[in-house]
Amino acid sequence: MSNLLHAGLHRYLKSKLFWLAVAVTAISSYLWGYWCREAYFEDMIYFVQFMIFAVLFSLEVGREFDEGVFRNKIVGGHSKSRIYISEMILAAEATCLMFFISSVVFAVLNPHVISIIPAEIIIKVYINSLTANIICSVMIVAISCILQRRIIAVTVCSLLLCLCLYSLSGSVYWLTEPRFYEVDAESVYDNLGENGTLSDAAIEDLHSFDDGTVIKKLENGNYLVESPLYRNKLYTAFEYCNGYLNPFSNMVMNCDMLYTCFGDSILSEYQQDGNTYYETLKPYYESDAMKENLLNKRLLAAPFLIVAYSGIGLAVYKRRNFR
Amino acid sequence: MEYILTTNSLGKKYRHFHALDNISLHVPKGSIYGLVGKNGAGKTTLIRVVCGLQEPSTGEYCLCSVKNTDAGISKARRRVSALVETPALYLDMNAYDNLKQQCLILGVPSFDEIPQIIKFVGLEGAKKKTVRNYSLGMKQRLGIAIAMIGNPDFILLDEPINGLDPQGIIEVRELILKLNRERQVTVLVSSHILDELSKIATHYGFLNGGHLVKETSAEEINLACRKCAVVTVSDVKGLALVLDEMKIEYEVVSDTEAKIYEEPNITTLVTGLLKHNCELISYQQKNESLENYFINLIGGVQNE
Repeated sequence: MSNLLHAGLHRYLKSKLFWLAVAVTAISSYLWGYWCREAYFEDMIYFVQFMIFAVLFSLEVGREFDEGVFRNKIVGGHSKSRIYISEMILAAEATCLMFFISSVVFAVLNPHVISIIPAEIIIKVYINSLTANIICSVMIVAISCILQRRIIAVTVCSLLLCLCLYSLSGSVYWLTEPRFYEVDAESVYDNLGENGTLSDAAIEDLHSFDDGTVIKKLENGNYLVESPLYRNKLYTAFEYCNGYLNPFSNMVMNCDMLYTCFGDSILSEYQQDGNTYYETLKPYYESDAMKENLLNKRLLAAPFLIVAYSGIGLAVYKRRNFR
Repeated sequence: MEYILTTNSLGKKYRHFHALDNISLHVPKGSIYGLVGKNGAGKTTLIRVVCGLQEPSTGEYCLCSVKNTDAGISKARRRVSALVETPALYLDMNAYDNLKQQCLILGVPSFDEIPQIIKFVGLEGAKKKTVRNYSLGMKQRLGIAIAMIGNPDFILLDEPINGLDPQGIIEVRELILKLNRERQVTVLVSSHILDELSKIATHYGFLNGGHLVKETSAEEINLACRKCAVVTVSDVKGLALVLDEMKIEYEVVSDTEAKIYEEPNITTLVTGLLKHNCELISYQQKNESLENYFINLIGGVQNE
């Protein structure tokens, strides 16, 4: 295995495509960081990053099969499984490198964001982002190993990522059914009362959802959100699974967490009763236990997902004959 | 005789198609084994199975004295290398990096051998060029160079001269002979260009429709393909007496026909035959090539 990893590292370091992907990651991270600092918190960066993975890994792994180089490995006494696992490990290493670049560029450009958000949360968000990136890479490598043709692999992986992103667009946030109302930036800004509860006017306003969503005030002071969509069990099941299995959902969760903690740069200058936006929000995001619990759950689920995706990929790949 | 590869009733089936059927092959150590067969005869499939690229459907094989079902087969494969179909190369790397990559795959600790191998295959002039810009012959030579990494005992070459120009064919042929003579590497070469194969092979296996039709040595083939004259006479006994008198090597084929393996003096032969009241009906020079031998062999099988 170590021989395959050494050889793979040599291959990646010699690959122009790899260095191009690193450069694109650095540039896009810089643009993202700059955008977040100067305008508002834009969360589409993860889609760009995932697409970079789709192109890089499907082309890198696909060429092993297209150019027939995997034959040298098999003839050299390496098993199919070892080749597959080595490709997974290499992709994870490359992902970590790109994630590191991206994180450093963002942190350098936005030190104020990092300083505001509690350290524990930012560490969890970073780890969750990294594992989501690795899950995405693992999916791409597994598909590329199964398809064994780089052009088909890059097309399928790109389409799959678009589908994953699209499937989340219909999600009603965090899929806890029934769920408690979350204190998000807009509601806080517009509707939060002095004691941290929603005003009756706000509840009235929120009742006017087009899709029939109803918000009820509970005796314990929480708010219950009931959406008619969740009464459809199949839809709920799909949304629930999608929320955990789709690596984009981790990224959306992270961005939401950061947004809750940080908000927009424009809002950051807003002053209310002499307090800045951050100071107004601080008590709420610090007490947002539900969202943090969800983040913890995702962190626990991530290793299982990595093993599950790579395991399913290995089982299918082993059944395939080499071209 | 010690064998580096033996197969026992090896078979490979794709759904309802038998690509290999009951193949029992024996490749002697130190030989250049020519695997002969038409397109689709099963040559590449056999090489792919032996290399581990595909699993056999039936039977087994023994590589470097290790059975394919034994745990040690992975180790045994490290003594074997192969060039299957097209050379497996990283097109955006140069020759040195491709060879370094193979060293890393095999866990060869030192890269010192690489310049020697590049020289051995005659690619010193192009070592900095990316493989994408190589000619087919250069790629083929680099493929063989990759197969040489780690000093293997056995190299399998699948159609190594396919698509090469005459110069390229000569170069690859010389390379195979050099490998066999200077490095004592056993080489299995598959080809349907029999003329080329006949210049290097010491042993042959003939495949047709997934079956091993015949396995033989180059000496036996040479004997079968010897240059001769087929003489048809009224009485072969008279001809035999004359040829004995002339001390010429011959072989009686039938009551009226014999093969003569040396060039006789025609006047002496005819005079001798007249003396024994034997009439010369026809005299035909025959030079049977490996191709003819193969066609006859395959034809014979197909007619059965």
